[in-house]
Amino acid sequence: MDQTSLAAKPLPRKVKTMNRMRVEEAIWAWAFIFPSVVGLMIFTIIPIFSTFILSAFSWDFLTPPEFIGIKNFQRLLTDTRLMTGFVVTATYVIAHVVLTALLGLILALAVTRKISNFLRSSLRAAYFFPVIVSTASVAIIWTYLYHQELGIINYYLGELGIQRIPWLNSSNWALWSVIIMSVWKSVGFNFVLFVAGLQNIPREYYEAAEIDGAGYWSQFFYITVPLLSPTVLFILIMGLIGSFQVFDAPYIMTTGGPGDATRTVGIFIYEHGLRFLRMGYASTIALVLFSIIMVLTILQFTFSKKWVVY
Amino acid sequence: MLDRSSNMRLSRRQFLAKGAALASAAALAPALAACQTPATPTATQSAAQKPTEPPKAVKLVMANWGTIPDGWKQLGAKFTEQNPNITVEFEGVQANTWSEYFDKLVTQFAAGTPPDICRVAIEGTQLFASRGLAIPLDTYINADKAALQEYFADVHVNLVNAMKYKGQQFQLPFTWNGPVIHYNTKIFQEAGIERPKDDWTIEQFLDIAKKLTKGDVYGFGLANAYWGGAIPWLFVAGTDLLNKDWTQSTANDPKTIEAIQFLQDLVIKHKVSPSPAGFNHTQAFISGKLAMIGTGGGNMRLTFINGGMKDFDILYFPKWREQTHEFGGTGFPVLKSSKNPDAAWKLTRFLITKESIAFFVNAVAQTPARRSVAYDQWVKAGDPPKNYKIYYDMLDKPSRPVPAPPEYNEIESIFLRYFSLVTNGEKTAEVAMNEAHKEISQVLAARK
Repeated sequence: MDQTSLAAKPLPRKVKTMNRMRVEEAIWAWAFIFPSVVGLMIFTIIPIFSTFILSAFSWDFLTPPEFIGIKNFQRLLTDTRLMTGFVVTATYVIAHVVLTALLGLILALAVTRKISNFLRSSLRAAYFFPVIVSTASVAIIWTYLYHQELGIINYYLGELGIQRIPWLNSSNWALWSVIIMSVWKSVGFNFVLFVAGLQNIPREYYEAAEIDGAGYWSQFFYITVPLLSPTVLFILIMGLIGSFQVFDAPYIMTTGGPGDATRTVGIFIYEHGLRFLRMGYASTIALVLFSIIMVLTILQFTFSKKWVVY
Repeated sequence: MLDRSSNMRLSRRQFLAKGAALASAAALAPALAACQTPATPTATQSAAQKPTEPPKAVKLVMANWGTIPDGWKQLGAKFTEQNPNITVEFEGVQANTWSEYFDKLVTQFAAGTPPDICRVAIEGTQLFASRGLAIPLDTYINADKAALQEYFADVHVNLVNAMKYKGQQFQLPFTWNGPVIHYNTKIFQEAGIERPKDDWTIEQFLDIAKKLTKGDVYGFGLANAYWGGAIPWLFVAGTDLLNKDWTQSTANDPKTIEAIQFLQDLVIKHKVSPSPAGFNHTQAFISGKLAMIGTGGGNMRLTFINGGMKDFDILYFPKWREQTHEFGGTGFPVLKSSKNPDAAWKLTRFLITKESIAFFVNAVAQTPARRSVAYDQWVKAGDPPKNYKIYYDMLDKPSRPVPAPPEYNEIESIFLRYFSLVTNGEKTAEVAMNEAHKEISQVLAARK
């Protein structure tokens, strides 16, 4: 068969319709995602590459950037305050991720037990409500609640005969005060994920286990925990990434103080970049933070193969 | 043919696994995007140095800290009435402090979208001048010398001088603010304490604060702040955070350390002030929980009155080694990037007239830069405080501006970081101020 005859031979009608449909589908698909792609390029991809480049420059916004090679990295290695910032951030991340995961699971288990629908709905709304309120608002309110002399928390502790706690005023307490507020604020999100995870575990597994004589804890550890493991992985990864970037709560509640007690790496990046006009150094810190989060996320995925059951 | 959708169907667990991967990629991005910056810094224009004729139709953009109150808009409309070819668009820049406001303005420069003119406090005068963001106004002032004579006669020279940098005038005072002691007259009366004399002493202050501290009422409310918080106490102690020309730190000066220790003692030893962290001093003063508060009249007088607090009067900061007062103030630098500097100067001239300042300070809580307005038009008859003239008269006493070199943002940040450790009792004033001195010295040494 020669080329001419092949070209001249009409395609079956069904194939032609399919091709046109695919092209149309592709056009529509691109049309829908185009605004997002543009946004992603402008607000994420280009800034990411700019960050890599800027880390080799000294730039104060107002004068042309000056190439300084690895000086920003050298400075970072000797910046003892920044090292404290990494310790503060790591403490926050571990405490926040573990506490929100554990409390989220406990609350989800409590709500999925046999309780009235009204109570279940009320509790779900109550636990989830802080998630939808802006962090800035609740952080300001918690600042008042935490005040050492005039805060309502210390007032009630005083009624119980407990000494006033310097919640935001002491370097030993301030970070934990921020963590308590953040856990209260975000535990509802994990709670909802766990509720969804628990509801998707088929009842038959529990019925079969009961017939085999398994008690509550056996069912929990041998059925619930393994089947919730994908949800746990999702929560751990999202929690870790989000917590490493923490900025708003400590900035609003303590502006990083007292001293550097709550100054997270996110606050350092903001201060160096936008307050002290050292964009190059701020970019270097951001790059290091990015690398740490990326390595930890890869490790989580790698190790998840050993404990996550799909 | 297989149905494509069947190939793409995900199980719940596959969805969770893939979802986690996708979400983590998306969530990682902001770590880097936090450092998002415009690609290139904008070149500033030098052409604006020389006054030129404004084009026929000019739109000026003027930035101000916070939301734009109606007072501004009405002033803008009045200006356009007088100058039909110039319209003014006001741009509110949200910030918690002046330094945050300056940060945002500088970012606007970097993004290539700066305003033509902006309201800047003394804390930013040197920053804008030293970075070449604002143009000197001397040429304009000299050209309008005769017309401005009345203005300079009405505005205290200390305010005018505070807005100079290296001998050149970068702003003309519009409003200003000096911290004074506001006190609750009712609490004083109930405790049988008479109003102290103008030259009351630090010992008298402490004695009164102790007497008035009862139950949940504190004698004084110390603020964890630079302007109006710690600096006024350094001034009366005969010292400062920086030397006279703001080129060296004096944070480790024995008198500075002594003053900071005194402030720590107010909270920790004498317990006459609540812990400053997370404390709303304004609300506490209005609700009668604080007998005395150190703050400016400009920004607080109307706030107290509007909050229902009328039983208050004011005193100078008490005398220690001396009784030097701190002040800050605002004016309008014409920005170098403006394409219409002449029109921007015209707007400045309009804003500093008696009528404009009176109109503005009566609509918004600010102390007028003109003495005539402060005395005759600012405080309505019968409104507190009784001794309102002190708000302006403090400039006749020894006074100087808040220490604000070009590195103000960083110096304030360093000072407050250490001051917070003093007021919570974790560091002595000596240890904290010695460490602060090292850091402030490094920042000043890095000046190009």
